[in-house]
Amino acid sequence: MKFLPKKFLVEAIFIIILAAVLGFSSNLFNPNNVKISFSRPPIEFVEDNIPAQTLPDVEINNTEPTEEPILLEMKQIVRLLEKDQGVLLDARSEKKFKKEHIPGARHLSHHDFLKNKNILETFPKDKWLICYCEGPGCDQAEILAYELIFAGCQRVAVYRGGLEGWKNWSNSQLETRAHVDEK
Amino acid sequence: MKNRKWDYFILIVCWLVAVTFIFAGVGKIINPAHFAEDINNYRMLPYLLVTILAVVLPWLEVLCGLFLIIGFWRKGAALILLALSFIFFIAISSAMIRGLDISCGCFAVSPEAIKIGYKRLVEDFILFGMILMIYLNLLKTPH
Repeated sequence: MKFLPKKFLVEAIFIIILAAVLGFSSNLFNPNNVKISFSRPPIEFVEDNIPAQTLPDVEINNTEPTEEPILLEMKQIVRLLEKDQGVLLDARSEKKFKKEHIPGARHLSHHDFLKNKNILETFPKDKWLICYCEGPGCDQAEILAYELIFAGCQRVAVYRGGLEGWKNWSNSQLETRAHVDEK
Repeated sequence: MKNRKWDYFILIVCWLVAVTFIFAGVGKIINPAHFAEDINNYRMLPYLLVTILAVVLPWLEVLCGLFLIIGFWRKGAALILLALSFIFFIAISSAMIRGLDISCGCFAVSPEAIKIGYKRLVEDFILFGMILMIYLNLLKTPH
């Protein structure tokens, strides 16, 4: 008995071709379509499609409630924390949080949050809840952010860089400081 | 009599697998952009392949599920689903080994989508076993 008969392969090829035709055609008309490209499009600011990189500093002073999580850069997060206007939430597992986390962050995975939504009462309502996870590749921060919004939080932000981004940022800060000291 | 019971059993397995893949595929067809993000989170493929997969894979799942039910091109469908479940198994294992903290993207694209982990791996392994059973049964079928 042959494990991979020709008939099976021929049928499989026809199905793949059919799926490709249907997939690309439906993608053209889908409002949530994906753009076929060689590189990932830049991360966009959720509210008004301004790329996160060009987000003006004034945004961190924005105390208006949002209906969707906004994306923040580390520079902006530091300012928020300095002004005591934000709380960092580590959305990773507790094990990973205990191993390492951004200084000052509190642990809250979306699983833990769904189990105990009363934890919301321990968060100051006038502060931004800034969620992060491992790095740009993870989505736990965004999941938590949406859960927080569904639960009624109105000032929710996501730091897409995550722990990885924070490490890079703090290293660059140290380098800058060392460079200034040398001068 | 024994053969008939076996045939019924295979038919039920076939339907279960088909419904699972149709359910998985439809959710992704509705929002391919989100599914592309899910695939991209695995950090295994270049972005071009990610986008192509996000467009084609959901339809492949739905078509294979439908063909398993209606019996047309059933052999090809079983072969594709066998390969897909094997690839999913590799992808989930690889992400777990690399310690990626991501959603699976297997059956849902909503924010509540389940994280990768041993549970997902076992589910995929069971699915693979079921498809293998269908495939081996089809291999014995003369036409």
